[in-house]
Amino acid sequence: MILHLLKLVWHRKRANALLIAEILLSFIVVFVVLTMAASLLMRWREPLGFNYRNVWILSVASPAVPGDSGAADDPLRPVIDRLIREIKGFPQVIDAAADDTPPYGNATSEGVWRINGKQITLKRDTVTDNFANVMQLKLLRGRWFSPDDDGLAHRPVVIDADLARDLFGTRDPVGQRFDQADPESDRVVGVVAPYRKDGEIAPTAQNMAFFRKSLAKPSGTMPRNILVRVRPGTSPEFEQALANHLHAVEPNTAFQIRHLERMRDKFLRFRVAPVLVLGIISLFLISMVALGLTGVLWQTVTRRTREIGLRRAVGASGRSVRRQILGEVALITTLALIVGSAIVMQLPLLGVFGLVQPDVFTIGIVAALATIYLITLLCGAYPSWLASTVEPAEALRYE
Amino acid sequence: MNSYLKLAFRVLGRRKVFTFISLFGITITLVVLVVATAIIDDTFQPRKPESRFDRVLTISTVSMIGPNMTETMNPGFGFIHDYIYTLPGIEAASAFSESSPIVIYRHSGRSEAQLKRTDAAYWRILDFRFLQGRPFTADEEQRGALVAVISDGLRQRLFANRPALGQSIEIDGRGFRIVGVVPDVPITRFAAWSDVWVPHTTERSSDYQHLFLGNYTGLVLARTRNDLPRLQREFADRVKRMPIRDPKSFTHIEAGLDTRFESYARDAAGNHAWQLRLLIAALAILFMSLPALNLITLNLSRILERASEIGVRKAFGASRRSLVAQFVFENVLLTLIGGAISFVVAAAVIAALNRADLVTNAQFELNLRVFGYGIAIAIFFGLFSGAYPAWRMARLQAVNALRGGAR
Amino acid sequence: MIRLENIDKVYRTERVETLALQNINLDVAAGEFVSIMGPSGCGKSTLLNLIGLLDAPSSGTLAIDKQPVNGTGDKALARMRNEKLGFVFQSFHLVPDLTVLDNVEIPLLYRSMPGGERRKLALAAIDAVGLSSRARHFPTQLSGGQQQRVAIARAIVGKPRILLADEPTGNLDSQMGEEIMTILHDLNRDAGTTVVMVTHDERFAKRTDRIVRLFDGRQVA
Repeated sequence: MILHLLKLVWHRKRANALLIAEILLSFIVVFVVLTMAASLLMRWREPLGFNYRNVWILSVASPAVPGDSGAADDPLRPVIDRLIREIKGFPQVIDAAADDTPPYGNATSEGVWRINGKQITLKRDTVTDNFANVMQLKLLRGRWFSPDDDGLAHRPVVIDADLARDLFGTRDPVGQRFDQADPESDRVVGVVAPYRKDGEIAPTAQNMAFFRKSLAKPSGTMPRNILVRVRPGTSPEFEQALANHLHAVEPNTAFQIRHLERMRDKFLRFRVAPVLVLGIISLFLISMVALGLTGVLWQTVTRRTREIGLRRAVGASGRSVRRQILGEVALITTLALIVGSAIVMQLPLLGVFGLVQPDVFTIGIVAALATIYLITLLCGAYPSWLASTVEPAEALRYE
Repeated sequence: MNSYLKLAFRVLGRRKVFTFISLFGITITLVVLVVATAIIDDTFQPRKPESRFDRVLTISTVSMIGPNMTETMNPGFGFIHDYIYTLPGIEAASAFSESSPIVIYRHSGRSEAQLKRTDAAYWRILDFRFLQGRPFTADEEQRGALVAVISDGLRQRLFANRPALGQSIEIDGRGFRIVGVVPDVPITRFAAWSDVWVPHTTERSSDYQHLFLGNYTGLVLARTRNDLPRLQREFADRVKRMPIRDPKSFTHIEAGLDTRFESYARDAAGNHAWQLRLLIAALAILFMSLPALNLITLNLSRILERASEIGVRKAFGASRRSLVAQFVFENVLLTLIGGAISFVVAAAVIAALNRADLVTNAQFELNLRVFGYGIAIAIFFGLFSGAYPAWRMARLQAVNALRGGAR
Repeated sequence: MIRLENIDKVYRTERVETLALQNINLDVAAGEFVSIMGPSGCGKSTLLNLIGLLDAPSSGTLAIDKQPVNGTGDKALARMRNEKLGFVFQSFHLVPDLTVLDNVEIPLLYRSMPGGERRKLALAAIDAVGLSSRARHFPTQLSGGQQQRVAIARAIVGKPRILLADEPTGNLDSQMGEEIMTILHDLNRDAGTTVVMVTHDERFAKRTDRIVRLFDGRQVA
């Protein structure tokens, strides 16, 4: 029977071509939206590697001087040092540290490094000693930075678990050289749990490397953001009191205090909104396609009344006719989806979906296939029922 | 024409469900297109306070390029002072800082706002309508007077119904006196968008004045639109002769004065890889071809169903041309009805968008121009989605049609 | 084989009631070749449709091969149509998108039968009507007479005991009509198939075993 239906559909492929094209396009649209949504959802569930609650950012407003000459002293260093000391003097403050590229911010430092003979893409952040405590990083091996590192001959580096795995495999990273090329090479002193600076929507495996800035001795351009962890339940008035105090202490320095939670809201909303909008538009478009499909199928059944009447006359039951129509719909859909899947499979080769992981890609395709089948079969429900009610005598009377 | 109309209505009325389905498809498509048109129109139309921007050039990025690295930042105030202010034959030149978020503390709590540091010339290039008060003057700029202009929305948040002019607000630990209030600015007007404007000379330290790279944007108001290319060339010459401060790391400088459109393009090219742009373009085409295909399919179905009627008409002498004309007429009529409905729905969607403030302060509108574009799109859709089916119908031989339609 | 008792058929629309058949009583024995004749609109086709289980009588009883039909469900009726009856229509009703072979196979699809056996039976039926060379062609590539022969092949492929033909020669010229009648007579004689034929043509009707005449829905002598 399936072979018979296949022959029917195949010989009618020109007439069905438009329908097939429409289902094909709908599949691609649904695939794109579902993959984006799946990607977001799957990323959302992964741990962040830090705690954003009750953290304030004090951004010192001074445009950074380009180029990071490691030895020269940044005039802001003593300022940042003093600010951190003053901030930590308050009982409402648990800890404070400076950070070059805070989470949920627009600044990112990324690069391709040649380490131990491999080309590796990594993200880097430059922080002062208390950063791990402020952001509540999870230390997995070794240690975090400490003020004693001022006296070290080499630069200490803390990497996250993903970077450790990429660089060193199963070997213990602690104590390893970080950059073979540099004779005064950096050395890994610790490993933290994966840190996702861009938050919940960031791809996993950020390959984060933390570098240390000393507050005590000259070490080049200082990070301009001071992250402050305040005690939960701190009253809002404290913020203004803190700002006033700091202005008094450093009258020549401009700064603004922001809340990391609010920055997170804005950041996430900005990135999730386009997907939502796309999703809503797709919903409308697909419902339009579904309605159209039902209409066209209905027309087709009406036009094939005679054929249906004939089949009833030679012994097809009503239910058999209904299954035939649904079967044809399923076959047309399958034809369209085969072509659609072939097209979609090309995308990774084009490199466009390098942004998306393979398992999300697979989920996207499977979900899209299921959705399209569901929709087309639903559309076929009424027309196929209609076909089953055709009375042979009526149908064949159409001379 | 009248008989076509009556006939068209009767035909559409006979198959009410089908007509409804077609209308639904047309309406949804047109709503999406009209709303998109309204958004694009709003973004690109010169409108207060940027109504002079058809003769304004902008510079907001400067790149230092070297063998191992590239540094791209906004120009610093020093850059603009040295190379933009001094351009010959212009009406005005201004520097303003990127909008930065600030917190304003009051006894009633904290308010977040966006702040721009500008010069006095800024107010000559942008044409803000002052609801109260005035902009700050060149004298105030020179003195570094602690004065501020605020937006109406901020005024409402800080002062509600109490007077704002002359009041002081605390920004960055110092008190600024409010001298003017302007209407809210949509985020799409990037040069104008802000909640608070203060003179740049109120920066706590004057280091910024010497910076080559920094966080400022330069504006140039030409005397006429024809001057723009000349100014762009003149500036390009200057860039070639600019001294490089770190010749070990960088070998040349890339900077240009852009018209409004060019600055959008530069923005788009800078932020996204070409792959992402391709993806976005492909998505747009994909999303629009779906409704088009849907309509063509529906129309084709409509035609084929009436095959026998067409056959009979042909057998009784109707010319191909009149049949095609009648069908196309029906289609355009359907599309126009759908268009009318979609305008109503689009207006509601736009009103909701404005209320939801998804794009800060933006007030999209369904003005005459958008309306005109909408009608043009509707007619185009009607013709386009009717062309192929009409061609199929015209080819239908009478005999086949009478026998029950082509398959 | 076919027994009709007191059959009435009424068509009801909103405004009008049409008595298509009135008080029909008919007994067809197995292996008979019966013609039904009468002027246009007298109810011949309606009668054939009733016998072919394509329509149900408004009152009266109908039995096919000793099995009563009244009150049988849709599925059982479909099975009877499939197994016991073969129908040949005036306008052939072939599916244009399928080959001759696929068209002839159609009745067998509604029986559980492996594909190979289906194919064999279909080829045999096509051979019986002399169209083996055209098995892979499409209906639009055949002449009217050939199409009717395909329709007959389809009607007999399931080896039904009763063959119903509604004006089988109506759309054909006299020579092709002769060919068709020959096939029908051969079937009747060799396979013992009961044939009930509606026809206009007095010549063809005279060659059958019995003529039933209808006028205005009623039997006449």
